[in-house]
Amino acid sequence: MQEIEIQVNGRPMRTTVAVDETLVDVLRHKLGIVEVKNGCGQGDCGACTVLLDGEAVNSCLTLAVQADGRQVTTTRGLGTAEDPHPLQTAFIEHGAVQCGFCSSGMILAAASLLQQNAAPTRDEIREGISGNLCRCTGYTKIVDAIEEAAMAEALEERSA
Amino acid sequence: MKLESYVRPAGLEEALAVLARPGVRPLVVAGGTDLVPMMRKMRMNGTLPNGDDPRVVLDLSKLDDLCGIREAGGMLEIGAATTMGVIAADPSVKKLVPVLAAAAASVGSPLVRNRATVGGNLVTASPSADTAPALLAAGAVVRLAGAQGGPRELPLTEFFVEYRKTALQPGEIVTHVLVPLAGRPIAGRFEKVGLRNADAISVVCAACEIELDGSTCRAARIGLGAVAAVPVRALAVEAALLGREITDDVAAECAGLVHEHISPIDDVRASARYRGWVAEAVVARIITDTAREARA
Amino acid sequence: MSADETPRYKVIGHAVPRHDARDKVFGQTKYADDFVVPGTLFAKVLRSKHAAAKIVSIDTSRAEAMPGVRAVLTAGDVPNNETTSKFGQTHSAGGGFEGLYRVLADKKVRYMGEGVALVAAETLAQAEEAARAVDVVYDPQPGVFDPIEALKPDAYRVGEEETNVVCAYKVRKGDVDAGFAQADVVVEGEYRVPFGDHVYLEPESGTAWIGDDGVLTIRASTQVIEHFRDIADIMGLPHNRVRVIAPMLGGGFGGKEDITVEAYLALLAYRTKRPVRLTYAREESILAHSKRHPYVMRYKTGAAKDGKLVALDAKIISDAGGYPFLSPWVLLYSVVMATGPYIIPNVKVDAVSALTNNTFTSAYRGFGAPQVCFAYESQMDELAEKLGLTPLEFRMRNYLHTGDELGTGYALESAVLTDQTAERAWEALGEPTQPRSPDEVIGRGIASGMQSYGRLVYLHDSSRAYVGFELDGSVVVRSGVQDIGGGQASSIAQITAEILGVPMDDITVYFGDTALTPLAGTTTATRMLYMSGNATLKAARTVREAIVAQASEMLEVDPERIDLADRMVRVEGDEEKSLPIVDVVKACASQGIPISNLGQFNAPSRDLEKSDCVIGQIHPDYTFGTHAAEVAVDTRTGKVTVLKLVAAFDVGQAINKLSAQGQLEGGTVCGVGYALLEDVKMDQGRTVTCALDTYLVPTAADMPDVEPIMLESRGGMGPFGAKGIGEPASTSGAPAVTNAVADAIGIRLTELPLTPERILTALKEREGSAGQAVWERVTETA
Repeated sequence: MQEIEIQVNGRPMRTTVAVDETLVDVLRHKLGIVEVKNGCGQGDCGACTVLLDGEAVNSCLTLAVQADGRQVTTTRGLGTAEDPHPLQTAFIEHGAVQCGFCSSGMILAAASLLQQNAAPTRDEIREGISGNLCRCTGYTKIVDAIEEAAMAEALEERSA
Repeated sequence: MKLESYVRPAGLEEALAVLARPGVRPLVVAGGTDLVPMMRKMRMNGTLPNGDDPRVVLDLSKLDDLCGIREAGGMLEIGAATTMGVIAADPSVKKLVPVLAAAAASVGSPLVRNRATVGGNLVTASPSADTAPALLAAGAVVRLAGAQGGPRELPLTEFFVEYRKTALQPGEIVTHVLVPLAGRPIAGRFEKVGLRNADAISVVCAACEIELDGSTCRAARIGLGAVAAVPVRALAVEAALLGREITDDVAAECAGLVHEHISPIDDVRASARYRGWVAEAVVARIITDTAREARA
Repeated sequence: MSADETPRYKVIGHAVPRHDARDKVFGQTKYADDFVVPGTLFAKVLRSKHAAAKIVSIDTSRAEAMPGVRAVLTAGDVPNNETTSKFGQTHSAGGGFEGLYRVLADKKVRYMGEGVALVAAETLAQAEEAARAVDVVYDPQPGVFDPIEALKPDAYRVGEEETNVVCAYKVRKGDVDAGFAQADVVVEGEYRVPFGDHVYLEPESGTAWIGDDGVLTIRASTQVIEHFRDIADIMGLPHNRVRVIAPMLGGGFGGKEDITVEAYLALLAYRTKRPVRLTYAREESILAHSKRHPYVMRYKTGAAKDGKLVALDAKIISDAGGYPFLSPWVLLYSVVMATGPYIIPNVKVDAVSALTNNTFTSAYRGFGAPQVCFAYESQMDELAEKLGLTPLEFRMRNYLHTGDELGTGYALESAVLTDQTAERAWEALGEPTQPRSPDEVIGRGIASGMQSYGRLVYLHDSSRAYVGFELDGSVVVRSGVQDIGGGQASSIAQITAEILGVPMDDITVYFGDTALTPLAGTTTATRMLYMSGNATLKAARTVREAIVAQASEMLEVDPERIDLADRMVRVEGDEEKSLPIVDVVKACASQGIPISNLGQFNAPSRDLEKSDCVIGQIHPDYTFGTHAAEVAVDTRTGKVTVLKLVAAFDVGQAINKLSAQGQLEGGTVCGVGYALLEDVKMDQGRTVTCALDTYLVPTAADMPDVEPIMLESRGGMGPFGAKGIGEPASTSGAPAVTNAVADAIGIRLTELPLTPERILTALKEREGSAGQAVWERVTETA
């Protein structure tokens, strides 16, 4: 067993983990970070997406020990009801959320995309979220929301 | 399997020392995108497939020596722990070895590409590893290091020994992938055929690099994946192209020789027959498109 | 008539952000596996490794002795291991609409993955290890894996009955022999569709505990909280001592319509007297839960040279898998809708469903309609081609309209705008895309479909909702609605907001709790908006009447001049006279006038007659629409790229514009997955594609935008003339794509999915080069 410390949304959290425990399981079951979802456990659905030191990754493919000393950002770290991220606002307003199970991961993947490409085309958006499955929306409104968020002025302020 | 400890060295020496410990066969991980799903399956069933019983996980993902891309000694030197995402976006790779940039960009999904490493892709030695055909077409060399003796280099063509088995000796790891820079940029194409456009295991993947002398072929390297026990070079196709002007018909004719090098199987994704058809069609297509680019 | 016009209501029809969207996006929503109860044990199901086997013995002693194990249960530990389930309905309809629900296998197993034993332990790892230590001795049996084989007299008997036949239906209208004799063109075809998995992003999950009140409580991701009755029967408890709560679900699509984890949780919680949680791994979900029915459909249709259909003969064979579950219901739907949205004077349909040792099949979005839609829409295109008519022209000559009869003789009562949806869908494809390379061919296709909304009329469906004002003017809605992501809870808030003149944000919806919310019925059959929407409408209107009556007294004006909007009572023609609604509420409360109401809505109902044939009204109503698609096919690999997608539907009246569009868009992609990608492959009952890297669903990179076109006839039976849309949106998506592929390559494939391999094989066979290794490159024409 190994003791690790992870910064989750800026807050240091310590726990003890077995070497083969995945980050998603540790976040959900040991640290109570349940907004990170587990849809498949093997990197095929993207529901478990978190930002690891700012990069979107499948937390089910990351060993918890590999996150020791690193920053994990979840959707709650991206924005809140009081101070929403433009992506979160856009998802709500465009009807891009149906059952919502993919939404946390989808929004983080989109945030990661927009960090690398501030003005993506719709095809680039689709490519950027191609690791995040959605079974409800058919993706069109998700792409609409990300396109709008990319254009939102608030995004410029955040990255300034 | 009872993994007891985890080591994340910052330097190569330390990593090699762990590998050299007698009786220890560590589970080596970098991005984890192949290994962690494998561990999950083993946990569901009970044991490791080859009877190993590792106690230590050795994480190479933070080794500075193994991350990054630079030009050195006439080679483009890519650290084995460099991720697909970094490789796909790297300006040098895109300009000098575009087939590799394309291959790296085709792996999995953006999420997977932020973790998956080129070293991991080669060491897992899956027949359908996407960077392998591109690196074979680029004439790549792998540098291996172990605790005994100094580092050694091996052409990638000699690295894949048999199905899921590489030339790595016990205690060795891949540290770098090297692509010769002479004559670059060289015209080339990479094509991956999967059942969907993202997060898909290749059914066939192929890459080529072709150099022309005027309008005749001076050199050709064609790499294939997912159609044999290991990634292969289509040597007969390459030989048939040499010295010829590559028209569409010539490309199609030479591509027909691809069957000497492939032994595709039936699996859940496709039949051997389909793979054979597509291997030939894709090889013809990438040769034609590359020749067109090389002439321009 | 289109939804693009200015909405005529204050809230209904608007693009309103859903209240649940906020919580979901900010990571606040607690799905089933997010709910943590201290002291919870973890459960694991031991599942059969054989598709067909007798159980010789089960020894749990090793497992029971393992560390952390608190319970190991087998069939013998279940108070009533078998019940006759009404599948969440309240009426005993008889005739195969009730069926066996067996909790754990006892004497034999009927499909691979059937539950054999249950373990609860302190940690999941301990439960998994203990499950592996349960020693089951099986006597493998030959089994049967093809419904056609299963129907043969000497076939292996899957269940305990004399035959493997689950049910059979027929439809007879007119005289098909005479019809075909009159036909100028006749086409025949055999169509095959595969098993499908719902792949809801949220795997099955739940937690159960005994509450402080001693009530067995199960909080689970379920589309049917009414299963509490079956669970109570299984446990030998009174119905009023079992409580089921459905939190927000991460998708359902019919896969959480049958009991999944609930019975297992109930047993373990009751035995251990501790909370117990069970969450399926994805592989387990694919292995063990219900699948979409594979069908073999043999269709023959005939038309006269004026383009009018004269006869249709369809034979349908359905694979029910190891247990019947909803197979009879699904087959009945198929039989009613086997003729599609077309006028056909002579109809003969024979359908049968047979047990096999494959995974059991049950509800899946579309519920039997998508399967037959693939068959009939393929036939319609073939007839069109033989007659020299375009696909659109041919269909336009045959569409049903209000007053026309289905094959069962039922005359459609509500609005039927299929022809308009077809014209709009086709038009929306715009200019044809040009091939982007010599290897590429482009094609376009349309497909029209019909899909019921609302339950089978035999089931005497009903729904309830409570609407009430609080003393501060805020509003409470309580209804047993299960929200599976389609905005089921939000819709009833929106209806309430419209009627009571308060903003959506002033309304709290309590949903999905058998103890505390009046039962709304199942979230299935595209019935929620229709049923709970109408129930909510009734309750809200009753409350409104009381408010209006009281306000009319207080303001001394006629009630007809009173409107409720923006939290105010307003008087038509007199801006001075107005009152805050809350003042009226308080006045009512003081005088004992009810400011709340429990509304019940009953759907049209019939009794099942003893008849050979399916005749008359089977569903309350249908939704009609058309999908259009443009595709590119790579002739060297067979790979299809979908370039354009359009979904044009008469939704009656969109309640929430964004939600309605979302259903059209999502349903379309569901259809595209069916057409091109999704196939649960089984080999002698073993699921081969048991994870998401082998069972493939569309990613964002595989889909173009879907253009949703909503016509609003206001002629549906739901609130404000709405029609149900959830399933209809998915029914015709697949044949639109397959018709486009047929247009592109000039070959019609009749088995789904249209994988690149199947397409390339068909191209090669046409070239005559399927056996050769040489492929002639198609050269570019100048």
